[in-house]
Amino acid sequence: MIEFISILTVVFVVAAIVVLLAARLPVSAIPLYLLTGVLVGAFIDESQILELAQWGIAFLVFLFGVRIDAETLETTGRVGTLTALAQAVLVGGITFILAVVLDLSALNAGYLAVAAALSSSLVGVSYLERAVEFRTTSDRLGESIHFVEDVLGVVVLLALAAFVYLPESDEAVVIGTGIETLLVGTVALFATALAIRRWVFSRLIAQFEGDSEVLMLVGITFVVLGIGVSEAIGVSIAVGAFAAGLAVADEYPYSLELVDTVDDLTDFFVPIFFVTVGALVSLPDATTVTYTVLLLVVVLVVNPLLTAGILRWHGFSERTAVLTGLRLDQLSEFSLVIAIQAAILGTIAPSVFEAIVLAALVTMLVSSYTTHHDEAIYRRLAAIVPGDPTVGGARVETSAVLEDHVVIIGFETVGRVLFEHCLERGHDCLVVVDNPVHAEAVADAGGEYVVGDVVDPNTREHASLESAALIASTLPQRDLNESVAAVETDAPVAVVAIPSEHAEAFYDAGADYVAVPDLEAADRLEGYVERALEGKIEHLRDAVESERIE
Amino acid sequence: MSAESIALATDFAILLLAAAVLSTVARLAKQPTIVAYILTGLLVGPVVFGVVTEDALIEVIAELGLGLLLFLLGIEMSFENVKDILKPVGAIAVGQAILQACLSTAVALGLGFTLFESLVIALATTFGATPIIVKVLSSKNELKSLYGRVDVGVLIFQDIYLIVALAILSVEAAGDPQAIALNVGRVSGLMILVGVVTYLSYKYVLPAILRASADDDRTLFTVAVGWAFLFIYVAEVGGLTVEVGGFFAGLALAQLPYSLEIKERMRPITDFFIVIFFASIGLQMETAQLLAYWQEALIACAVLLAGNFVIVYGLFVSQGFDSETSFLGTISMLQVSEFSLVLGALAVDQGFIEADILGFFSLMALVTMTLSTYVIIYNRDIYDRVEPYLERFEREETIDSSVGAHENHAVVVGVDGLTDRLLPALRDHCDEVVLVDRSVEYVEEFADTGKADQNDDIEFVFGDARHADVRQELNLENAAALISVAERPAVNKRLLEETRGGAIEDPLTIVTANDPETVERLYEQGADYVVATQSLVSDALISLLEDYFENDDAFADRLETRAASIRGEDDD
Repeated sequence: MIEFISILTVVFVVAAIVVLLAARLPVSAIPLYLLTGVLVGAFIDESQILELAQWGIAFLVFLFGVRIDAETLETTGRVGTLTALAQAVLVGGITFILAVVLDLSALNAGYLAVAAALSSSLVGVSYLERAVEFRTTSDRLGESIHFVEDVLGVVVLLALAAFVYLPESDEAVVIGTGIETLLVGTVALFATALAIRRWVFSRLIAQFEGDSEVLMLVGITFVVLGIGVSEAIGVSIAVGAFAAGLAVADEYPYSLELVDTVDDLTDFFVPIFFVTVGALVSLPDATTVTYTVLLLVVVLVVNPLLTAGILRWHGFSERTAVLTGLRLDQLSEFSLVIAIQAAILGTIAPSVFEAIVLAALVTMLVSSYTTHHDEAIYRRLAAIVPGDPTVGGARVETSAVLEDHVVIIGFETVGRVLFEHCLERGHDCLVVVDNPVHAEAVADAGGEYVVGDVVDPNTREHASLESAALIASTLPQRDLNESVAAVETDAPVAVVAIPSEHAEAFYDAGADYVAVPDLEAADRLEGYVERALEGKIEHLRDAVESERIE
Repeated sequence: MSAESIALATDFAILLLAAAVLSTVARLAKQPTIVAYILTGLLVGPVVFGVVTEDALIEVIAELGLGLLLFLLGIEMSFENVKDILKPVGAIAVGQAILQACLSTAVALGLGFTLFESLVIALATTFGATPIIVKVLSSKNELKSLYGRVDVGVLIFQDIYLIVALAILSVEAAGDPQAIALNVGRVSGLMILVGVVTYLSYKYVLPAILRASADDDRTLFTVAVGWAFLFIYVAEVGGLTVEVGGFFAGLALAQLPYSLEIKERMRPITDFFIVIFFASIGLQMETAQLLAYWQEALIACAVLLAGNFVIVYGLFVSQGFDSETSFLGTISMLQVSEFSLVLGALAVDQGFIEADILGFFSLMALVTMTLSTYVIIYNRDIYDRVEPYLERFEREETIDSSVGAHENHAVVVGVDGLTDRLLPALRDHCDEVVLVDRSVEYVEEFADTGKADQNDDIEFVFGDARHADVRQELNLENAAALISVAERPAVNKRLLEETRGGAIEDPLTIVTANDPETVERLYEQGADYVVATQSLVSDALISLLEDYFENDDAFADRLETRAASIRGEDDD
């Protein structure tokens, strides 16, 4: 037992030191845990904590299942799905062929292909820090592509269980499981999970609202049940945990206790999992290095470019295409789950396994960097390849040049409201969008649009920024707004600052007006709060009443 | 090979599942979960179904659960909480140990045990069950009450002589006084060393480490877990208990501003592990043993409960506690600790006692722990009934020590431009402003320097309002105003409920929301004003646009005012 505790102590102390040293860098914790594993691998017997590491997998996949909701897929869902599938098939296919050329068996080449094709929804999630309402098009695209790839990961796990592990299994014959049990069992598992989510879950959970201890146990029960069923039918525990996650809805307001608590538990087991995976790597030999380099090239270069190309072809702006591509330049945690299961079962060549772990480590580190500097990378690219914006709306038909028009940048909630206001008041206006769906909506309403980015000179020209009356950027993105503010024009430039700390930088860049929601609210509330605290709260209530009626 | 070979430990899974089901049932029946967990162990263990044995994983997790529980306890022990009661606590602890040992020895002798057995029984049954007391008191939120603090203090003293007792019993050549002295000396030295390291790290190491890690949620968590494990490991290797290791690791964090958030982040994993701990108590028992001395055990339970009550209550009163504190403090400690099993097992190994006496301990622990859980939960109801009989023992001057809570204060959740602007008005009209935020930068800005400074009426809490305990620290029921710029609708909902459901009539409540649906929902939940971020931005831009086309002066004025207010901010 003392040995067990000593291993866990080493894992957490070294992980703590590593994340602490990297605290000032914009690096995701997961590659740091992998790195910790590589560092301590020689000193600990990781097989001892393999069991706890499996809990890491289970909780991780469970949470992924929990977070799935119908809305994720609505706006960019179809495009995201198509892009993810096309990208996965192409990248996977290329890798598979290259791996076969390198003389790997079909199964091992398959492992490499899967590793190359899927990217991580855990590492590429910087957008999750932004409130849902302020996510950009590339945030949403990234989210839905990651989502589809995670589902693909689950499908691969299922397929491996059905076609690779099962036929090779001796025990399967003994305990009477076969392909039929597996298929029927899986279908039943998911059907039950969805039925629970639909009809049972809310009722069950409402009994325990606010009782985090019991809710935690309810969460764990779901995970344990999912794992139990998956073991009984002979699929990976990850599949069972995923189904369990599907049964639990991340629903307002219950998420506060149940999901957050499971989240906190996951934070404990996740380092154990990734450190264990890292610890399984030994000093790489030439073969391992070859496979690693293959994965690195495919994931870091081919994958983003291909994704960006597909999105451009769909009609998204260059900037959005590039930014989205840059979110997909890392290996998925699902690939690690697949690899470690294959390693435990002995169906993967050690060099392939190690290459996958090493490539995951490197790409996740690189990805933290590229995500952090994505705008700068895009601007470099844009300087080399000038943009090719699409223009549309009534002006194209009349070929009139716009003058004294309002330029609205972005067509999310605020942009839409502003656009409708302009139409209503009869102001000429043009919307700069990055999403073909938005372009269509603008055109349908009788407006003008440019699909492009203000950073790009061609777009600026097409939008006639120089002759505009007023330019309003409605998206709260720092880099975008700084470049909008810096546009050379006589027209006043207004941008949005969320959080308010950005406001000063926008003024420095040359903005004429910065809309800051905190300050707008403060302007309205200051007097009322004073009076409410003096006991005259009705003034505020009356004001709110009349405002809401409006 | 199949997926079977990478299966998770089935024993572990079954145990968890049974615990979850039983505790759910317990909660529905309004019974304490601890009882459900212990029952789980009995049910799946050798006593009833025998489907689960205590395997290595269960043992380790149970051990870690105990260590982490004490870690959380250590975090709660800020120095202010204990310093003014240190003396009475010491007196109670020593008196209780001696008197209870005498009583237990007498009772055991009376029940027909040999002198040697009686001494071991006395030694093993003096300790209160720390996990039960801490768990129940913390779920009742009474760890910081006067009686809670005294109990915890006494338990810590008990832990110290438990370690000494273990050191004595674990000497290979029993009866060799030199070896015993050496072993006791070694553990004592180690205890002092751990204490010194704790103090030094609190003073010089931790503040810097935590400041560097606190901005990132996950980094802070990993660092805290690493810290706790380090102490637990050292304690375990050095022959101290995991409890001591965990407690000192927590103690080093207790005085620092990040402790509340750390505690809340660690709570779920502790809750999870402690389930296994309580269940493992049940797992260790065997039917045959359990029944070997059942009559003696039940008699001993009854006699000792009554006798110990008199002893401890007397000690409390003699130290000048009022009758309520004395009563509540006393009845919380009337149980036999799970450590009686550990000590008992050691004594069996050394050949001091027969294995069957373990059953005697087990049954006593089981009965007293279960009983005591109910007693602590309903302690005030019980007190109300016995109050008239007890008051006559009360001394004239009693110790009065309480930890203050905020009142007539304003609660501000999250610091941003809005809350910054409203702060002056709040400070003018409320006695105090309690700020809660998850950023390190404010920790130092609003640090309590102890000197009179301009931020004296502002109390800063480092933490995330999603945690129930963080919200509790804000004492929302007594808040005159709530201003929240928290992002999550569910957090705002809870904040609203807790403020509006409180003692203050008509508190001012202002919360934030991004999308129209949430805005509506929060108004329905009783918010006085909802800061609707998106529509504020739209409104601002539309007004700007209108002024641009209609009113040049107003437009110029708008640009100027805003620029001035942003530019002006950095003059501060």
